[in-house]
Parts: sequence; structure tokens; C-alpha cells
Amino acid sequence: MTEAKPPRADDPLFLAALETLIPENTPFPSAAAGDLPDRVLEDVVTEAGEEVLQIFLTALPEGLAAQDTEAREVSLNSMQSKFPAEFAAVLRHVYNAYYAAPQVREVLEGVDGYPARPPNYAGYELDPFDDGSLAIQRQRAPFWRKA
Amino acid sequence: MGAAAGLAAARSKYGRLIRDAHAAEDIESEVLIIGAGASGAAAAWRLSELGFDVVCLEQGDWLDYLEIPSIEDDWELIRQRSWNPNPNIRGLASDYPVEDSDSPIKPLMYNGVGGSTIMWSCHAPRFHPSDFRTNTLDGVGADWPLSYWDLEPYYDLNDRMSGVSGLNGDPANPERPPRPLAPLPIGKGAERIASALDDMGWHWWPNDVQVYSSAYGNETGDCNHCGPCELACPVRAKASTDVTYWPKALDNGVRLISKARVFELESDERGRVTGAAYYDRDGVVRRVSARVVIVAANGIGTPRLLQLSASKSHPDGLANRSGQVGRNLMLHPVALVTGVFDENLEGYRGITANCITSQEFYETIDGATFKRGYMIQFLRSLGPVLTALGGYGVPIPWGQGHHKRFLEVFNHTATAGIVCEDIADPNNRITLDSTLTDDNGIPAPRMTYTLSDNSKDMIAHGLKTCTEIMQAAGARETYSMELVEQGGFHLMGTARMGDDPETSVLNRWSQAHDADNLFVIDGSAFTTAAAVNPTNTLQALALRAADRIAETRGEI
Repeated sequence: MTEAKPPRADDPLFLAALETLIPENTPFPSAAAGDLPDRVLEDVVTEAGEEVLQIFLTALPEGLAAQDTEAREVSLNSMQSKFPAEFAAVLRHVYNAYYAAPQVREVLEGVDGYPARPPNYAGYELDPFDDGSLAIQRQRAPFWRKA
Repeated sequence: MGAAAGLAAARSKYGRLIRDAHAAEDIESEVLIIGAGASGAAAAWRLSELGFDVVCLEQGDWLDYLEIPSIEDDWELIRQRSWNPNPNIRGLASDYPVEDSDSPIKPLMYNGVGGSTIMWSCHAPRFHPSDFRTNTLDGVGADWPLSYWDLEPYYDLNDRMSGVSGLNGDPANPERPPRPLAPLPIGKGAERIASALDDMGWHWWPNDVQVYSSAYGNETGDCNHCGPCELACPVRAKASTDVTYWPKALDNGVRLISKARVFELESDERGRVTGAAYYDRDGVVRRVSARVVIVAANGIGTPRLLQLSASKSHPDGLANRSGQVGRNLMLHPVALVTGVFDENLEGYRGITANCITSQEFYETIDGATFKRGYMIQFLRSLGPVLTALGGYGVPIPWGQGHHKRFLEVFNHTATAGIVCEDIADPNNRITLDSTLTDDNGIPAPRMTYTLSDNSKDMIAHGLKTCTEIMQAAGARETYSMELVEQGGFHLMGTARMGDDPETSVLNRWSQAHDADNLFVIDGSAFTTAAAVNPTNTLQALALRAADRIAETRGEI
């Protein structure tokens, strides 16, 4: 356990945790890349409160940054079982910050085709409804219950 | 046109719709309506068409169409916060808290001009004829004091006023007039499921949706299939009542006073309602006196207000001689089954919660352990943030396999929502909380609700059925959510209609048994819940009540 200190986005322990929660997987960045740690930090502190983040950071093993991936996952799994509420809160904000970030959305557009923009005002194209698809249903007699 | 210029042009085209008014003094009116949502707006329009002087008090404000989240990059974050459908999470000044710790299903609503139609996905089915006769047919619940056929002309009128995209000819429902607008596209996921349902010999039909496949009236637009209708519609292609009924009602002279929080309906020694007292936008207590008062504050807000309005002539709360005010709270318990498909279904294209439904299991099934039935409403997939968070039940795990799993699921899912008919239980109820208050110090409502064994058995049946459907549609895996906690959008039954004043609050005209100049027209009035979305029905009831007020003008 480390001692409590004001949370910082460049804290190696914090970065190691983010890197373990969402590791780099080309072309996707890890949650520790670029400005993502700042986004996560802001999201957690604003929405869940600094105290939650402090509990999370304090519970991280000091040597996490030096561990290999498998060992880090074991450490975080252990922490998740000991501090489920705080872990879930931080994870929620990691996901929030990560998948709302423009750089991640651009990668996602390249991989999946999901446009890296908000739904409006452009919306999306869809083929019109095919009335012929109801052919079988139209053969059925009304079956609503008389009352 | 560049993106920025396009955005500016769209904002200009679909700019603000606000037409605000407030009263600097006590006022009088012929009819006073509490609540500017689905039913309040419909009644205001109808009564103003019939020549009534109408005032409406609404605790929330007009929606600012320039502030809608789905035009922002972080729209999925806003959705979880200031646009959360749960007022306890959203916590805006226009909201009041609901003590919900005794309910496994949490209350959802929106407080503002348009009410919860601002956040609805516009599914506009009709109740079935059997829904009005569940006691006679199935020995559960109570029969309504009116029939489907009494309401049918008002369903038709509401369709015309609100605009409906869809197709008539559905064999699961009585015939209805041609829908004013062509059906909306159903998308790849629903096409797969529809084909599977055909193979299984089960019903499906494209939804009746109050979203516009092409513009319907002034200041409306065409649906652009953006997805999140629950975040309001920045192109005004859906029938929220700030777009449909309110502009027409205001043109007719209705005075709509927003940011006006009513805390008491006042009554005289004969028991007649004389008007309402409210806090205005500056916190000043003001009054509106009226000859007729209509409450349209939803299935939680209405019983709260009636209970707050106890008086010498109504010692147990207004119109509560039967003791039924606040009781018989009905929701629609919802469970989900999600199928994961190899194909990218592009589930972000189109309304998230609206494409096709199956009413194959709508009625009581021979040999089943439960009475009445459920509707299966098929849903599209969620955005990336909510997919990662597991909005349909299973979050994407963290760690080395995270992205692989995310890409397997994202845009590769279709979901079946099992919408269960809820049978009224007097122990499921709204009361006044003894300690919690809103910002004005008004006692907050307490929601007490237990999921019945009937609902549990119905959910179990639905989960099995929908898993079969997903597998038949080609899903390579399925997962489920056995009860959607954040699912209490449909709030019904807490001031129910009936012929017997000893067991019901309202008569067949939505008129209080105990005060003939008091009407309740929101979901509180429902005697049964059916297994379909209630908005269309409560708007039809509101239009019918308005006609009754006109027919008896001078008598009440």
C-alpha cells in the first residue's frame, strides 16, 4: 500500500494501472497514452470524487509499474476484490474517458466504420423499410383477443 | 459546406422553440392544468380548440434545442449525468427527488415543457381490447370502466395530431387507419430477427413510432436515424409535445407558466377544487383559481400532489376517500436478452429503442404459471461508451483481452426487451416521505414496489423465448439482464379509474369520484398496465377527458 498523496495524471502508479486496465492493442492506444490520463483523472475527480481516486491509488501495490502484464493483472484483480466499489467507480470513468476521446474514436472509425463524430446533426443513412419482408406476417389472420 | 458551417446552419434552422410566460400575480382561469407533458399538452390543445380559457403550470422549463447532447462529442457522458432519465441522478433544479430505496426498479421521468416525451423513444402502440377487461378474461387486475372502442376515436385523433410512422394491417391488433407516415427503416439486426420470427411462425411488425420518416407539420424535420431519441431530437423529428401540441395550444391562447412548482390543490368546504398554489420561478407563492382542475403530473407526481392536498373536506388527501390514491403503482418490468452476431449490424444507425416488436406472447398462455403476457421490443446497439460499460448487462472486461472483446460486441449486437404487463398490487405505492424534500421544502414521494411472482415467472418465460429467437437469428452467443433497474419510465395506476368509488379514484371520464371538477389524465388513471408503452393511451384518455369537460361545461 502506498501513502495518500494528491492524485496526478503523470503518477507512474496511476499510469501503470491505466495501462493494465486498457492496454495498447494496435491501432488502439492504451488508456495511459497521450492526454487520456488527464481525461480519466478529471472524470473520476469530478464525478466520483477525489476520495474514491485516493482509495484506488493508495490500494495499488507500490511496485506495480515494474511488474509484467500478467503480474499487474493479478495485482489489480486482487485489488478489485478488496475494493469493489472504488475499483468499479474508477473503471467506469476510465471507460468513459477512453471511449469518448477523439483519438480513440478516430481509431474506432478506422477499425469498425463507426463515424468519429456525434450523432447529430448529420445522422446516418439507412435503407428504407422493405414492405415485402412482411409477406409471411400478412398471411396471418388477426389474432388479437376479442373483448 | 464545411462541418462548422453545416453545424451553424443546422442550429439556425432548428433553433430555439421557447415561448415563455410567467405570471407576476395571482390569476384566474376556466381550466387549470398541472403538468405540461404528454397528457397535459393534449388536453390543453383540445380544450383551447373548444374555446376554453386554459392555464397550465409546469415545474420545469422549455427545452433549449441548442443544448441537446447528441450534437456534442461527449454525448454518451452527458447521457449518464445531466441527461440521465433518473431524476435522482440527474438532480436538476426542475426535478424533485424520489425516495426509491424500496423499489428494485428506479423511477425515470423528465420535468419540463413536453414532460417525459422529451426523453421518450416515441414507441406509440395502442392497448389491446383485452387490456381493458383483464379481470373478466383472466381473473387478475380490475376491468376498466371503458373499453378500447370508447378510446379508439381518440387514439386516431392523437395519431393525427402527433404524427405516426408505421403500417396498418398488423394481425396482432385491431385494424386502424393508414398511418400518416411511411414506416421507419428497421436496420440489419431487426431484419435478421424478423426473418427468424417468420421461420418460427411468430409475430413481428414494424413499430408505430411517433418519429417522422418525413416532416410532419411546421417546424419539424425528417428523422436522420441518429439513434438516441431519448436525448431529445435536435431536428425535431419526433413527437415531443413541445413540438406537437404546445405550439398549437399557445396559438389558441393557452397560458403556459413554466418553472411553477405546485405544492397544493386547494378545495372548498363542499370538496370542490378551487385552484392551486405554487412557487413561481422566484420562489414566490402564487395562486391560480379555476373552475376545473386537471392533474397531469405523472404516476408519481400526481399522487404526491393529491396527498399533499389534504384539507378539511379531503382529510386523507384530495379525492382519496377510497384510500386508493398512490396505491396500485404499476410499472413495466423489463428484462433483456442480447445476441452477439458475427456480422457488423451497424446498430448505431436508427432509433436505439425502436424498430420492430413481437406481440406473440401478449395474452395469457395456456398452462403458464403467470397471467397476462409480454411484448418483445427489439433494440439496436449502444454507443462505444455504453457498450464498454455494459449498458445491456455485461461490461467489457478490462485487461489484455479488452479490445478484442469490445470489437466482438460493439455494433454486433441486437437486443430483445421483454416488456411485462404488471398486475396492480395495492402494496406497490407512492406515499409522502417523512424526511426527504425537494428544493422548495415540499415532501418528496416515496416509491414502494415489489416485483410480483407473476412478473418473475413472466420474465423467466421471456428470457427463454428471446434466447431462442436470438439463436434462431444466428447469434453466436447470448447474454441477459434479468431485470432492468433503470427501467421505471412507465408510471401507472396510482389514481385509477373504476365504476366503484370505494375501490377507485376516478370514474370513466378520468373525473374524481370525490370532486367532480377534478380530473386526472396521466398514467395514474390507468386501471391496468397492459404490456405496451402507455403514452399513446394516456394522450387518448386526455383528449377524451377534454371532450367530457366540454360536454358538461356549465354543469361542473
